[in-house]
Amino acid sequence: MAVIFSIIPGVLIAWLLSKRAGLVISIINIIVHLPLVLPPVVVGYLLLILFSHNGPIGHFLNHFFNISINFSWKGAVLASAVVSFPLLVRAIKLGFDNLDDKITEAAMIHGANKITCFFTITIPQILPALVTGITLAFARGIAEFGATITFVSNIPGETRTLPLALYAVSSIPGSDYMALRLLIISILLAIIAITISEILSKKSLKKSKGIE
Amino acid sequence: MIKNTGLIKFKIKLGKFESDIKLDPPQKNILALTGKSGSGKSTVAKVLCGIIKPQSGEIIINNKILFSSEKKINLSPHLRNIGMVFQENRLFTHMSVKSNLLYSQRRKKLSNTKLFDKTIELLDIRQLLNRKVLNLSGGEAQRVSIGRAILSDPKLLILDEPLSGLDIERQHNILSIIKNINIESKIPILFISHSLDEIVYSAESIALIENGKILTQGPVNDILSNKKTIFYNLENEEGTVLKCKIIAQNLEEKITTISIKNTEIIISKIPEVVGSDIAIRLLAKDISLATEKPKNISINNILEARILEIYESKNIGNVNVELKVGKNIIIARILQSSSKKLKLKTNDKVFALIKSISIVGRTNNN
Repeated sequence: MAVIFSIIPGVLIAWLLSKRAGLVISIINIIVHLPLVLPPVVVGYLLLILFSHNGPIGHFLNHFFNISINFSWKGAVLASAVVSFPLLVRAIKLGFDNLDDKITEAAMIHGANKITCFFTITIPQILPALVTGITLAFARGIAEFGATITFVSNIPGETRTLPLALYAVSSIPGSDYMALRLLIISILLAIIAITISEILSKKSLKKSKGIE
Repeated sequence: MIKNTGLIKFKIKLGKFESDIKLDPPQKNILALTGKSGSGKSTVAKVLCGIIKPQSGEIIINNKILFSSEKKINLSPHLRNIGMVFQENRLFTHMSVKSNLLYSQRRKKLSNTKLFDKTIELLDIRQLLNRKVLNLSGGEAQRVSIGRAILSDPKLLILDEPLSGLDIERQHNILSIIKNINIESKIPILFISHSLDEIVYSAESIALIENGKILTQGPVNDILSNKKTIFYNLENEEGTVLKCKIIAQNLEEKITTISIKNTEIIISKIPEVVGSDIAIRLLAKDISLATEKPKNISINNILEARILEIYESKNIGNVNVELKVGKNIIIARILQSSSKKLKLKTNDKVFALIKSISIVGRTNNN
């Protein structure tokens, strides 16, 4: 969920970072990468300040759209998205960096406007990077712990993510069986995610390189 | 005269490079744009197809204004109706050959099966349609790239050094395709090349560019025998290149007779059929002069000529003698002392003894 919401802004920002330069771009670059370097608890606390009912963004959302983010599943999604966003952007940016502008030029000369060119040439050409980015972001999002617990706490059925559940269970004496179950689910999920991403990225690499 | 429906005139500054171009676009023939590397040939191509925007000027192709700084018009590349073939094939690697070819038609919502069939026939690429781009050889990829450009139904086809990186046999193959395209589909072609052989073989007229400016534009023979431009592309060897036609083949004696604007020249036999166009290169050092017609001499081609001008050669101790032979201009290089001995001066009648002729644009010169 977090990753799905991140894809479009991720692609946009990756494109900006790759193809444009300037002070504003440098600032965006730093902001995007902050969650990668900051301790997750700091990110969670920052989100808490911004999105709580008294926080600037939280107040705005609550007042105009009646949306409350903190201590709800939406907050967990947001925390995951923010923390995994830099990984997504970095991977896609690499794809844009490697994209040959000469190919897009050729497409535009031969009848494609900017938008069609983007969907018929750019996206297929950067597909491997896109898949890698999504996988990395997904993995990071699922593993997200620090920011989530700080921002939206650990509420069963609302903001309890897999690592949070495991954390909760592991601190209760006598629930080893439950913890083991969660552990196995975690590992299975990871294996499935890695396998799918490997297959997808190999396929898309072949396709964009025109081998298959 | 056909009414001029096009105009290329622009000024552009790219870093330190400045270009001020004034060029008549080709109407229906092939116009070669040539010059040394760094002279701004590719800049012209990029400006025409709208990849870079000039500071000022006006570009009109086939009655359509593509750019006008005065009228504040700057059409984006996809609206310009220009086909382009690049040095590198620039094909879309994630698509099949067929999708590459149809890319433009799909974007422009055209469906012209007749043109498609004709084009793949002309380029001999039917067997490649379902192949992947990366599996194509250099020559195949370049043919597909030409096909993609033609199928966009362009009003001007720009070829930017399309033959570099191909071996000689493939170069010839593509060159003859380019010529056929022009004859069959009547698409005007701007052929950018630094190779004289390619130009003489394919183009009707030449524009010469140097330091971002067009030096001169005109029919191939006029430009190639122009004194100012004779050093161009002859690997610094002074001389002239002339377009000519094969008028007779003597199989018994194994000689071919060619004609350059009614001046006949005999060369050893070449396989081309009577009526084909070829180009010959006459190097100044291979032409001697005599004031009387020599007898009992092994040289076959002795042409009556009139001296137009005598000037110092860049080879020390030599002079170049510009000669008018029939309607053609050729250049002979002789020693300054010989010139004095023969008392040569402008307007004198002389005989040009041509010792060697090379055929341009062929692998085995004779």
